[in-house]
Amino acid sequence: MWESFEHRAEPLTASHDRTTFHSSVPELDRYLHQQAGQDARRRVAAPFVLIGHTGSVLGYYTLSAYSVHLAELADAIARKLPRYPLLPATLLGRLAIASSYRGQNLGRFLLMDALYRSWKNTSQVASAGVVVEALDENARAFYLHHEFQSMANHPDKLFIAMATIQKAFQAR
Amino acid sequence: MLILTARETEAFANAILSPAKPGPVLRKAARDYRQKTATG
Repeated sequence: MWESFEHRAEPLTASHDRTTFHSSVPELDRYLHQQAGQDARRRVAAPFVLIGHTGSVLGYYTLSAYSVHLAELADAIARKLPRYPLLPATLLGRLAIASSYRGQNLGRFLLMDALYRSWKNTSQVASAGVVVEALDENARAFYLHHEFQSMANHPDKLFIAMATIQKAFQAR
Repeated sequence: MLILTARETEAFANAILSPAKPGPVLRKAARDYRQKTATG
């Protein structure tokens, strides 16, 4: 796959035409059409778009700073962690591919782009892992396939440790 | 903010303190990504 890969992921700007993007999930389409630009300007989320060779938007995802509030831990584990109730993480809030481009592994490419950016960013801002919000069972299966772990009481949330991401990108 | 239960906190803490080695799916996806983006 990707032998003639001509796509690139880049931060969303006003120059990107988002109006023709359709993923077949109205919530995800509405976000990109109406909300993503505003979120980017307000710095509440960082949207990135996947651009095809014609310049059209084929997909997108968003990244945000996130906090994981820990419950009380057993002493043996708690001793090894910072004594803060909150751990910094990165939220992969949305990820969508245009329905006409499904089946080309572009979702995997966008996910890897999100993980790569999240990992690279930890040299500037600490993050212990990436948390994703899965919109439905298909999305959940997609993230589990890519080695995220699910959370028992938050079935729509999955995570992967930043150290695991780092090892994946540093492996030869 | 994500508020974890005690059981989830333990799983999350373990994943951070003893991070899993990436498996074949994640390694291959990362390798393909680096090739396509020339980040390696």
